[in-house]
Amino acid sequence: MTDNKKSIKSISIQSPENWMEKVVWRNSNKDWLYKSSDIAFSILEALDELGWNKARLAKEMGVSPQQVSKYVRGEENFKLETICKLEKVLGVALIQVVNAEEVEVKTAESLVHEPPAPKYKKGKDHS
Amino acid sequence: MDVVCIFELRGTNGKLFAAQFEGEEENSISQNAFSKLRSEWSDPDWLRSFFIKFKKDYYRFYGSKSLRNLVQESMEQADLLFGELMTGAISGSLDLLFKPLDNSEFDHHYDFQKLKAKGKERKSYLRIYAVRFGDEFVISGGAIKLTEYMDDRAHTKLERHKLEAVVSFLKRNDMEGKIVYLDI
Repeated sequence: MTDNKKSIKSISIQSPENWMEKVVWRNSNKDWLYKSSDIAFSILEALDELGWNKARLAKEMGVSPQQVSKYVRGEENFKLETICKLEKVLGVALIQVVNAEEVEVKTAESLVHEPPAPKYKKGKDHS
Repeated sequence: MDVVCIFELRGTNGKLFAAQFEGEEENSISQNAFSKLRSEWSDPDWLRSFFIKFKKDYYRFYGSKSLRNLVQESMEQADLLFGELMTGAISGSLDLLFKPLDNSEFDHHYDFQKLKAKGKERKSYLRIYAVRFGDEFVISGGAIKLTEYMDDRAHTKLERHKLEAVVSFLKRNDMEGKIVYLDI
């Protein structure tokens, strides 16, 4: 007994999209893509806070609505210039550069002013 | 919601397909159920809107988490799931990824069987739905499933209808009864 089974291929058309390339691309670029998404999230939160829609942001930024859609889609490789303009328009910080010297000073301060070890009351078992 | 046509996904050796539903023809980003899914699950705007609406469902199942972290987590899980799908399509092991939608059918395989794929993470709530035909699979859609049953929410209920629509389309297009048994 033999079976000649029809394939779905016979009733399908080839997708023009190279989805595997996109999956590989996202995996290779995930570090900055996730940061871009995080910025997009902050933009969306700020818009809600201000009660603005994306069209209003486009107007305030002097860019097209399509450009704003790209900002919030999470695949925008933002220029610092764009980030600064967005921060100014929205009135929020979107990224923060860590100041290493400040971190060092804070760490040193915390060591100097280390809080004392907790004192336990007698009679209680803290083992 | 009717299926308009079926797309063969590139690089899958004719094993993985995706349905295109009415209304998706005009959309260049979401050309079919699979591209729509990938577009939505990588879009912080879409994910944020989704979780604003359904965050209580998430909390009920998984506990509290910030909206920002929910968006980030689901995006990362989606990337992993699509990676697994790609690996399965290349290695010819899609069968290991797609499990019967009905858990009681875990050891049954049959044509037009409704299937689901989910991430390896214990708490994976992302689902890709598909219909089996032999060793071929047609993706009908997917959902962020945060409730026990698909009928509990409109968006997951819709996915059941889409699975049905794919089955109907395949049967309508003469895919049924095409196994020809020859007495030799």
